[in-house]
Amino acid sequence: MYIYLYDSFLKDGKHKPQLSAYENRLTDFGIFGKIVRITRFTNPHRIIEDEARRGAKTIVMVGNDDTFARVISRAADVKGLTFGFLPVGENNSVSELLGIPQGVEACDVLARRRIEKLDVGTFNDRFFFRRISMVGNAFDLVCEDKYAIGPQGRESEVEICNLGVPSWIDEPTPGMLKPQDGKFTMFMRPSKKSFFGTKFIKPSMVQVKKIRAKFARPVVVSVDGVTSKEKHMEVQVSRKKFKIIVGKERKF
Amino acid sequence: MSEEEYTPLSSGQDDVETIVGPSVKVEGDFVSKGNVVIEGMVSGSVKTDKNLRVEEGACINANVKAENVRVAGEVKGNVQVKGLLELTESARVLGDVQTKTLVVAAGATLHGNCVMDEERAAKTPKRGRAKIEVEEDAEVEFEEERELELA
Repeated sequence: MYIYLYDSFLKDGKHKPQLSAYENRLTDFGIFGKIVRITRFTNPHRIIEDEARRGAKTIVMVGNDDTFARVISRAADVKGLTFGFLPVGENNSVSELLGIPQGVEACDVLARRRIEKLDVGTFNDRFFFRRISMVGNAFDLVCEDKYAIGPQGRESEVEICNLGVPSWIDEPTPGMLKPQDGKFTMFMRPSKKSFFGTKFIKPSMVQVKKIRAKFARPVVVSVDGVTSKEKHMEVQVSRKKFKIIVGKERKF
Repeated sequence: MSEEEYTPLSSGQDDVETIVGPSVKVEGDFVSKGNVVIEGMVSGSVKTDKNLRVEEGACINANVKAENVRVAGEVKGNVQVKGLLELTESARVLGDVQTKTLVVAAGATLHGNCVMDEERAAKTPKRGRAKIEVEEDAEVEFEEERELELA
């Protein structure tokens, strides 16, 4: 049984034609199912658990990157389910990484059910799928409980990536895009401020499974696009925990 | 290479798993299974199953263990290499090295013991003396010294 989680922004009339096209195509394939509408204040974990108890096997998120992040952050650990995604509107970089095109072809991908088990990360008390970003200068990140890595007094951008790479990498190598290897790729790019502006120093790149850090002052951390201030962080990978339907054109 | 001049991270780095860039410091027991490039500071220990490159300007204050190592910076610690150890003209190694093959460019500095090809060293016959008990007042005639093959 398929459950479709519709994000609240889809109520906007401009998305109606695309939604109708999706619904017609899914009905043709015989995979259309119950629609559940979610908002920013909905607890997706509770909804998905309830539907799983009633026999749901596939949860399809309909929306954008924000929808995807909100559902996964709370519900990635619900057992026995396969997730799918139908992109609508703008801000849809996740669908590109997963090989899910915009338009009714996304329904074809869903119908084909090419399932991959991907790694998912935990950040403190929630899950993340793509990356964690932060900027700071007074921190040491303890990796694997064995060594500490940090910028030498310089302000640095740090990105811990499970799927995708930082925006300042133009051509990612295949080794950088591996969401099934049980590791994150951590990038650290120190910067140097001068009279002429900010220059960036050669970035560092490390493969890690576990990172923890305590910050002297709260640091702004962005987890899959959701921003918060944190005084400590514990990041760990859960290998191949998350089943999702992907397309042939995926980036990994 | 100065801090500002660098090639993009993805250029020519397809097989590199770890890069410790300049201005980054690593402290502790660093273990990797892939190729490692060090351009910053590392203290503690460094171990990888594959190749290690210590670039010019890098400083390692640690024992190092790898399959092959190329040093263009400074290493203060023992270096244990299974295959090839290459020291470029700007290399400074202050510690013992153990390797199968060693390449040292003119200008490189190496302060420490160097052990190469342990298997061959173990096969070389060693000189030894047999213990003989002699009673008091006995007369002993000595033959010429012979080399004993020790197992």
